[in-house]
Parts: sequence; structure tokens; C-alpha cells
Amino acid sequence: MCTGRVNPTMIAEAFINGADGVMVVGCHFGDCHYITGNVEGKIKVGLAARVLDFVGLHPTRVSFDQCSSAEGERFVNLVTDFDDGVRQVGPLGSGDRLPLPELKEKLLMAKTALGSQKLRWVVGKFSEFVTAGNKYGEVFTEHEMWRTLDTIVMDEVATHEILRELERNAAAVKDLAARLKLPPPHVLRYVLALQRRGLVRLEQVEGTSPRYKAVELEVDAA
Amino acid sequence: MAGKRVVIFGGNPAGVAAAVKHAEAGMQVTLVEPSPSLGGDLLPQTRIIDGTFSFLEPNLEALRKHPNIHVITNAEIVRTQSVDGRYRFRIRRSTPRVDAEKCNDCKECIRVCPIHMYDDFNESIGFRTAIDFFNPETAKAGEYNIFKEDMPICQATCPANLNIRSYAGLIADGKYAESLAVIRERLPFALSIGRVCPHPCETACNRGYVDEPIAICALKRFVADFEMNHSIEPPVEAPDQFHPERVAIIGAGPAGLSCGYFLAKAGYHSVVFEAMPEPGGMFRYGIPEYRLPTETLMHEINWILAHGVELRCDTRIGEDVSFEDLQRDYAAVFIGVGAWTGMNLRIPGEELEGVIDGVRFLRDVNMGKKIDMEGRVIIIGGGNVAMDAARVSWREGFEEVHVVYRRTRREMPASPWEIDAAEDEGVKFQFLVAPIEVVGENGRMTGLKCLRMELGEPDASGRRRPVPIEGSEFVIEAENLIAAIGQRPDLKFVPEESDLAITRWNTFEVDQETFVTNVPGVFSAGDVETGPDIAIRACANGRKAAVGIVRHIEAKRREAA
Amino acid sequence: MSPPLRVTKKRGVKLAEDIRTGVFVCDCGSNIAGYLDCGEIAEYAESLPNVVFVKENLYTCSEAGINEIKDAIKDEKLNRVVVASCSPRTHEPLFRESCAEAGLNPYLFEMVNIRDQCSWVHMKQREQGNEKAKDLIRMGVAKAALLQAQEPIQSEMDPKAMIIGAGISGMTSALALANRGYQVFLVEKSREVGGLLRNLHKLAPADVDAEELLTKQKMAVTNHENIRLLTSTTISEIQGYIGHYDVTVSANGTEEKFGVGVIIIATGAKVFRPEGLFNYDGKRVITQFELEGLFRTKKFEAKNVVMIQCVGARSEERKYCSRICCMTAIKNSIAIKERDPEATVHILYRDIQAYGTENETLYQRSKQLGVRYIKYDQERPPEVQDEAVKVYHHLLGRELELVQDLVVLSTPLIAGEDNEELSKLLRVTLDENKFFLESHVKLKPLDFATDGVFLCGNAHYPATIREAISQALGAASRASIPLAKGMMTVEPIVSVLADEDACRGCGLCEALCPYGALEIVRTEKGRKVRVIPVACKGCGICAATCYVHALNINSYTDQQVEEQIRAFLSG
Repeated sequence: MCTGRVNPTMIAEAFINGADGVMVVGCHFGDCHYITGNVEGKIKVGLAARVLDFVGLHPTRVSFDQCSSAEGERFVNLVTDFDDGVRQVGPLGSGDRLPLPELKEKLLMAKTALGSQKLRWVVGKFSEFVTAGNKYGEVFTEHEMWRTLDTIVMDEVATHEILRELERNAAAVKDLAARLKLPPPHVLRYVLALQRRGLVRLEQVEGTSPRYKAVELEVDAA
Repeated sequence: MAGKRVVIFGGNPAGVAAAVKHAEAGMQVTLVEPSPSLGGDLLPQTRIIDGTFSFLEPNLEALRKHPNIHVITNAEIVRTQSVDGRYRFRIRRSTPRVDAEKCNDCKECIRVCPIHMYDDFNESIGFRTAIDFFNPETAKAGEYNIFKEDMPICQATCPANLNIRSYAGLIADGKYAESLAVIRERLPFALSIGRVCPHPCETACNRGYVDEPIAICALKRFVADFEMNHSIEPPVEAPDQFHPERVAIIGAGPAGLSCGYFLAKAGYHSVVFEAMPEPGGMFRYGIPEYRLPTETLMHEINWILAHGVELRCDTRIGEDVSFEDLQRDYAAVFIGVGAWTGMNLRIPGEELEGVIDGVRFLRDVNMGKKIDMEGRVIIIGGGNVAMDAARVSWREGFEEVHVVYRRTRREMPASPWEIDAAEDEGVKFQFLVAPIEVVGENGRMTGLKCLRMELGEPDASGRRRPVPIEGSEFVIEAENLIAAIGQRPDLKFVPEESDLAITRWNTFEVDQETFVTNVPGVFSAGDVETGPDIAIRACANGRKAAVGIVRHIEAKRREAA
Repeated sequence: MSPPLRVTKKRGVKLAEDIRTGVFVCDCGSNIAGYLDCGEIAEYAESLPNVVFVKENLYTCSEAGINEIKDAIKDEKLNRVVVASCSPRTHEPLFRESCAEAGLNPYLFEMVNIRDQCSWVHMKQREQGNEKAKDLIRMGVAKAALLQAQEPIQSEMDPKAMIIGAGISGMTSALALANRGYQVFLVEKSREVGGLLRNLHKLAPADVDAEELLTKQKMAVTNHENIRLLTSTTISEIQGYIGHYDVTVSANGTEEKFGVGVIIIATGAKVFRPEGLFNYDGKRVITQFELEGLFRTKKFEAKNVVMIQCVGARSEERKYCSRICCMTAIKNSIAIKERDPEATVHILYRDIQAYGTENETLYQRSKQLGVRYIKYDQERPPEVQDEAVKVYHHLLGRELELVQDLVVLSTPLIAGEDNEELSKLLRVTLDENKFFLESHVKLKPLDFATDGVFLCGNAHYPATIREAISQALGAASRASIPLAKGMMTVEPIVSVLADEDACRGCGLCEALCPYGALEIVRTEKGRKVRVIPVACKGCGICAATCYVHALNINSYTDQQVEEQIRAFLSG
């Protein structure tokens, strides 16, 4: 399987099922059997690593490396080094920013974010933007793209967390903020943005605080 | 009044009410609103909590249903004409990037749009995405649009609109050659501008609000220097085949050479006529060696010439070649002669020996002429030419160098770092002092009589006007005086029969898009068009003029065909 | 105004049929069984979900082993087969075929490699090797349950070829294919055929007359009934894939369209003009290429010639060695000496490439004729003056002044300026010097990674005429393989639009596909992506990218891979 086939959600899935580390090893650039698969693979793994890091996973646990089939020793070194690194951090839940039950919740969140439209859209445009440029002919540099992605990761994870809470129960902004340990003004901004996008609606006003609820979504039966 | 057509500007509640009122009276109403939706500043607050209610509801309902009201949002009035009591308006609508006919308000776009912008509609309480709708309750059409800033602030501020975002970013990625290529798309003088530009872009840079602006100018100099210092051959990208038409360029300064460079890239040969013995214009003769070494400048000019630009130095139009010859022999003429005549002080004693103007002084020094002056020197003026003259004087070994300026240091138009450097080198500044007479003996000056000033009310330029203090006259003793109070172009070479219109500042008036003068086929840019200005503007306008010239030639070719 | 709602997909596929998996564990003689406990592994396999039959074989790939698979499929009504043995690279086709012979769709077969992955790499860690083998089998069994039957994809071949560039390589390829009976379009952008050959004089090492060779090939190409020669013609568009390329060319402003099945790139290279180097002026200081022109037009008169090698090559700017310039210089120095033994020829070089017996002979011969070789240092390059060349001699340790009335610069061949455009049109890759890059240096030196496109000659890298001709014949031979087959069968492990309703036709996948195997088409349901299975290689970039999860890869679906991950971590 080409590294270009690695769906970022697969990496999250591994951690959700208890993996302590995920290593993706592809060919060297310019040497890819599928021409550009490794370029895309690196971007996708990079995205997964950023999202997982953001939700609290230790960054050592995800790695993207390159190695040719003729570099046996290099491969062994890569794997050994990665294994050593992960062993130092310890099993999932130790050494990460959150202990296991909470981390798992967050990992599920991360998978949702990685499977969601916005992050996939931007990451899909990544290589086009750094080479051919956007519709306005503006070519972006890689560090610029990653920086943009970082802010989107932040927004997306928060947005999905809020959405999940509101799918369960209607809530006021301050309750949400307390539950998610986020500053209330931030939560308000996200909630209003979600309302604007038609994903959240005002259910009722309790006293002076409005309570929001996620809009019930049609679930595809397939 | 029935049947008449009415245009209403502004879609705030009053505008909406007026539109409904006039429409109900039977008139055809067109409502023009510059923002993307109606409602002015009042509306958004009603939407913070609940989108279903809106403040303007009754009138809006009426407006929306009324067949006689046509709403144009995102639009502004460009020109108004009045003919026989009837008005004609020219309205410019900013690019609609969403097809309102096809948009079914599915909100899919705003759900995936990754760019969060400052939500100017809700005072930044929520997020707005780069593609978004604007109060669908209020606008008749065009609820959705993509908001795209034209350019980053630095790029918009740069007279040449250099793609700073890209070239700075490429340097960060370590791609120096690519970065330089981005600069050269719009500016051939990366080495020179990287040294001398007063970089308005950095003043505008948003990073300045956080700590310091990005060192845009120094970055440009860095990539250009990197190429030069590593002896990398700068790529010459001229087409294989040139068109038969040739263009005459008068003046081998920043404007003329930029124009020639871009003409060559577009496939046109040009001949640059230069009155001075060497090319470069103000780069060569106005800017002192310590700011822009001749060797560096020539490195860049030689590269520009390699694109297919012919240079003829020591050729003064009007003396060696006549202007009419150029008009006859070339497909187009570009005038970029700069502003080389120093302005008079208009005070008594100006004709005394020892008085010289700033541009002339700098030119003589740059030409390596022996400066026949010694003793003390006074420089009048507060611009960058005055600073250059002061710092050059100091280097030329005058005993004392004084700068006399009418206002205070804060009002000085020179770049602050130049003022600091001059002061640091030992130049003495006299602020709030105005010269009133050059005093002298036997035809040679001995000093400058001055008057002290104080600051009064702001004048048209926004700077506080200096007002003289009665009876405060005093004399600064000096043997020499350099007047650096401004320059204007010398247009003696232009024959009267050419019909070229000249403004009262002795400049040409040109079309700001094509830089064509009132005479077809004659183009002009640079200081001769703007009056004394910064070099990058001359380069930028030289490029625009090249585009104008190409269009002119192509149009003529089509006519002939 | 209620918006259409977000669609949430339910993951995991509901299995309609009753899954009956058979697992075959191969001992591979002692290759596997010598280092792992195959019996224990087989026993473990029995405990896995859906597994109804397990068999350990001495050699699963032997006649006996194959028969056991076939029998089990029939007797045990197996609808999934997993073989745990060696590399799918070598044995998967065999096992698939066996399944098919027993009436099971070959794509319901899954292979697990416990030899390379376990017994070989963990020879000394029996315990861990065993555990890893179990893990891999567990994953294989889990994936097998989700496998779906596939049919191979068939596509017809348009038995025509286009060759881009009518230099010596292009003409040779064209003739080779045309002689085999295929219709060939030979497209040349300049007015004349022949490319660089037009300007050459004699061709080393056999001293062949360039004009003679050119005339011969030109006549053959022009008069061949199967070759349509299109000169002064540029290519404006190429759409399609192997077997079905739609080409649009334009000549003198008129466009023409035709279809071909394969394409050979033979665009050649151009000679680097050393503007600004060593006082190059095209008169007193010329290139080797221009020297050949002088020979050809019989205008050569110089008495004292200095040749400088590696001008503009093997430098910071152009790191590569153009390879052919040494032999060109040697050949031309001999030509000068043979004309006029009194003439002096100095060759200032950095290193000399004279590989092979014939070239070495020529090199020696030039020395015998009195051509002087002086090595110079890149740091202290020779200096060309009006009537002399100054060069620092290493061994003498001082500067020499060589009298000259002609300086000849050996400049490299550089990539053609159209390469970038063409590489985009055909979705093939270029190397860092903008030459075309082959698919594999050793295994496929004349192919591109994109099927149906081949390359030869200078388009790939500077080559001698002889090499260019060999490559041209090779490329024609490679190209004739799909042409001869007439029909193409492609493995169905390709991208599929699994969820047409979800697809919005956004084009994200289309932009990223390295093979041009996806296109956005208008359908009744709006813009949708269409997969071109013949062109697809199954890399999976599209499926990993699709933002609405509409695309998937047969036999490597998201669900199958995630099921494998879960199976691995549940152990």
C-alpha cells in the first residue's frame, strides 16, 4: 500500500484501538512507485500528527520516514529509534498530556476532525497551493500552509467538541465552556459560527442565557 | 412624479425607507449599497442572538416584494454626469464570485471554508468565513460572496506592488533563486532598491503592531546580494524573437531602464538615450556611493541591458538628437528624464559664489569632480537629498556641516535612520530656522542670515506651519551653502511644436494606467511625471508605461493590418 | 429555509452473506517451518472469526497444496481464502488463479507473507516471530471477510503511435514501428526533420557522414506509407490514457485532432549557448556545434585551435556531465589534424570521458596526431584573450600562453525549452535538469511511470548518435508490446466512486491524481468524478484525500484497512 493511500483517519483509528505508536515509512522523494504518493503521504501524516498532538497525544508517537527497499540497515535503525522513542514515552495514556479515558475521548474527536470536510479540503489542496498556486495565482510556501493548517486544526477540534456536546444536550455557552475547559468567549464565537453555518440552533432562552442545540442531522442509512 | 427613475445611495434604514416610499409613489427605484447587504450598522446587533427577527423587517418585506425596486449591493458610484436635468451614474460593482442564480443557500461552502476572518458584521463576536452570506433577511440578491483581500497590506503599499508575501516566504523556505525571480517579475532593480528604498511597505507592515515590521527591504537586498556574491549568473529571460518595432527611451534612470527591461521581456527592443556619460540616472548621480556603490548598480544595469536594451550615453535630446527624430524613427517615445534642476531659495544673495543646489552637488561628487569648496557648509532642507548632501559634505571634509530646517525633527520628510546617521556622524542640525538672506563680501558668501520660527496651525499637508518669531534674526557663518529644498524636471528639450502639455510643476500629465501623455505615442514616468519621489515608484511606473507602450504598438499594428 | 443537512456515514460494512474463510499455512519446507511453529499458528487460525477451515501445507504452492485449496473451496463451501506463506509479488497470481479454477472469484483471496515478514527477519526470535505471524494472519482474515468480488478490466487498444520529435531518435523509432505495420504520427515542431544531426559533420567513432545518414533516414520516413510526418507542428493538447490518447496538434494556425494508443517522446535536447563565457562571440570563439558547421560548409581555416571542455557544465548551475562533449572534441581535433598536420590543437579539459574501446582508440589516435591535452582547474579557468588563451598548467606550476586563431568551447546539451510543457501535458516527470525521467533506472529505462508513454534519445539525457538509435529501437520495441496485444487487461485494484451521491465533483482528486485517471464529468446528478480504470494504478491518493469519502480503492477500502488495524490491535 502506498503511503499516499494512508487516510489520516486510519492513524487516529490505530490510537483509538490502543496503539502506542504509528510509523509510516515510504519511498524517498522522486523515487515513488506512484510518482507523488509519498509527497501526499507526508502531508496527510503531517496533518494527522498535528491534530493528534493538539488533542494531547505525545508527538513522538507519530512518525513519517523515508527509506528505500535497498536500505535495510536504515530501515532497522528507523524502526529501532522510533520504538525506543515510544518506549521512553510509555504506553498510551502515560507521557501524553491527558490520561487514558479522557485521551480516548479526545482521540475520537480527532478522528472526527480528520474525517471532516474542512481539514480534508485544505490538506487536499496543499500540494496544489505550494506548486501551481490557487485560483488567484498566489503560490504559498510550505511553512505558510502548515501555519494556516495549525489554526484550522485548533478551530476544527474545538468545533467538533462543541458539536458533539450539543448533539447530546442543549447547553448554554458558559456550561459548555466549563465542560470543555475552554474560555467562554471562544466558545461563544464557535457556537455563533456554527449557528451561522446552520449546524446549531437556539433552542430556548433560560433566564438571560440562550441555550443552543445541535441541528438534528439526517443520517445516511448506507 | 410617476414613471420617473430614482437612484438611492446607501442601504441603511433611512435609505430603505426612502426606497419603499418612492417605489410606492410609482417610481422605478435603484438602491445602491457599498456593503454586501442592506441595513447599515444597525442591523447586525439584532442578529447576534436570533436570526429570524430583524430590525428593518417591515420595510424590508415591502422592499423585497416591490417589483419596482432594484437593489445593487457591493457597489459604489464612480462617476456622476448631469445632462439637461437628467443624471447618469456609473456604478462599479465589486466582483461577484458566487453565481446568485445557482446558489441555493445550502451553506456547504461556509461549512468547509477554512479561512476565518474578522467578523465585521458582528463586531467580531463570531467568526465569518472568507465565503459567507450577509444577512439573507435583508438583501435581495447576492447574499453570498467570497471576500478576498486584493493584496496584503505590504504589497498594496509598495508602489511596484511587489509580491512580498511570496518572496519573503520563499526566502524562509530557502528558495533564494525563486524568491529573486518573484521580485524580478515586477522590478529589475532588486540590488539597488534593496539598498536605497525607504520601504513604505515596512511602515505599513502589520507585524509592526506585534513587535517590529518584517525587514522586507533587507530581505530583498539579501536575495539579490546572495546571487551577486555567489557569482550566480542572473537569468536573462528575453524572448527568442523580437518584434520589429523599436522604442526610444529618454533617460537611463530607474524609470527608463525599468521600462526598457519590461519592453524587452515583452519582445520589443528599445534604445535608451542618456545625456550623462554613464547610465543609472539618480541611482548613479543622485544617491551617494556609500548608499549604493556604482559597481553594484552597474552589475544590475548590465544585466538589464543584456535583455536586449541598447544604451547610448552622452546623447542629449535636443542637442545630439532632436525630439522630432525620435518621434519619427521609433514606434513610441518614453520620457523618463527625472527631476534634476534644484529649486531656487528665492532669497537675496542666492547668486553669490559658494551657493549650489543639492542635486548638482551630489552629481558633481558622484562624477568624481573636484569639489571647489572648503570651509563650512550649510544645507537647507529636510528631505533625503538634504541628508545625502549633509553626509556627503561631511565625507568631503568640510570643517562644519549645518542642516537648517524650518520645522522640527518630527516634520522632517527624510528617513529617520538617515537623520540619525547624519547626526551621529557630526552634522549639526538647526531646527525651526528659516533662511532669509545669503550675506557675502566681494561676491562670495560669508554666512546665512536666518530667522527663528515656531510652529503654528497645521497647513494643507497636515504639518504645523512654521511662523517666524519677530526680531529673532541671526547669522550662521559659513563659506558654502547647499540648497536641497526640492527639484523639478528640466524640459527644455521638448520642442513647443510637440504639443506636449506641461503642468505648472514642470511635469507631464499622464494617464495613470498607461502613462501616455496627451500626445499619442509619447509616454512618461518617473520623477518627470510625479515630481521628486522615491525610486521604486519610478521603477513601478516605468513598468506600467512599458505595458502601455506594448498596447499602443499592438493597437497600431492592428490598425495597419 | 432549512439547509440540506450534513451527511454522516456509518462506518463498517454489514455482511449480507455468511462468511466461510479457509486459511492455508505454508511450511515452505523448512523455510518457514524451520523457524516458526506452523502447527501452533494453524491452530491459532482456527480460533479466528469466520474461519471454518485451516490446513497446514508442506508447500502450498505445490500441485498438492493447490489441489487442497481447490478441494476445500468445493467441499467446505469456502467463500474466502487466506494463504499464509511467502511474497505476493511472486505467488499471489498463482493462488488467485487456483481460486478462480475452483469457482471462487480470485479477488476474494488474501495473502499473508509470514516468510519474508516473520521467519526470515526473525530467524533468531522464534517466539516473537510466531506472535507476529499470528498477528498478520489475524489481520488477513479480518480483511478477507470484507473483500468483494471484482472483475478484471478490459480495454481496447488504438493501434497507432505518436512520436514527438523527428530527430535521429524519433525517425528511428517511427521507422521501427511503421515497419511492424503500425500507423505512426511523427510530429516535429521545426520545418525540417533531423534535429541536431542537421548541423553535424562526421559521426564518431565509425566516421559516418552525418548528412548521408540524415538523408537516408529522411527519405525512409517521408516515403513510408505508415508514417504521417507532420512538420512545423506543435502539440496543443493530449487527453486520455494508454490505448486512447486524443491528440490535438496545430500547424500554421490550423488545428488537427487524431487518436493514438501509445506515445514516444523523442524531443531531443539543445546545445547550450555560452553567452558571456570565455568571450564567446560565435566568430573567433565558437562552440563545437558551430565548428561542425564550419567543417560542413568548408569554411574552416584556423591554424591554431584551442578547445575548452566543460564550458557551462559540471558547474554550480549545471551540475551534470553532458558526456558526449569529450568525444566530440576528440573527433573534431582529429579532423583538424587530418586536414592539416601542421595545425596545432590544444584541448583544455577537466576530466576526459572516453569510455569503450572505440573511443579509447580515438583518444589515443588524437594524441598520436599531436593533439595536446592540458588539464585545468575549475577554480582557475583558462582566460581567453584576443590572440591567445592563458591557462595555468598544474604540473609546470605556471601559466601558459597558447597562441590561437580559433577557440572552440565544448558546451553541454541542455533540456529543450518545451520539456516542462510536455511533461504537464502527458503527466510524466522531469529530473532536476528538466530532462525526462524514466520510470526505473534499471527495470524500465525507456518507459515512464505513466503507461503507454516511452522515451528515447537526448530527451532523456545527452546521448551519442549510436546510443540514441539503440534507445529509439528499444522504445519502439517497448511501445509495440501494448500495440501488439490489441486488448489490455488491467487489474481491478483501482479507484472506484463508491458513493456517487456524496461526490460533489469538486476536482480535488482530479488535481492530485498522478496518472490522469480521474476526470470530472457532467451527469444527470450534477458534476461527478469518473474513474478511468485503465489509467488508474490504484495508488489511493484520491481515496485518502476525498473530503466526502466518496472514493475508495478496490481491495484496499478504508473499511478493510481499518478492520485490519482493529484486528491487529485486538490481539
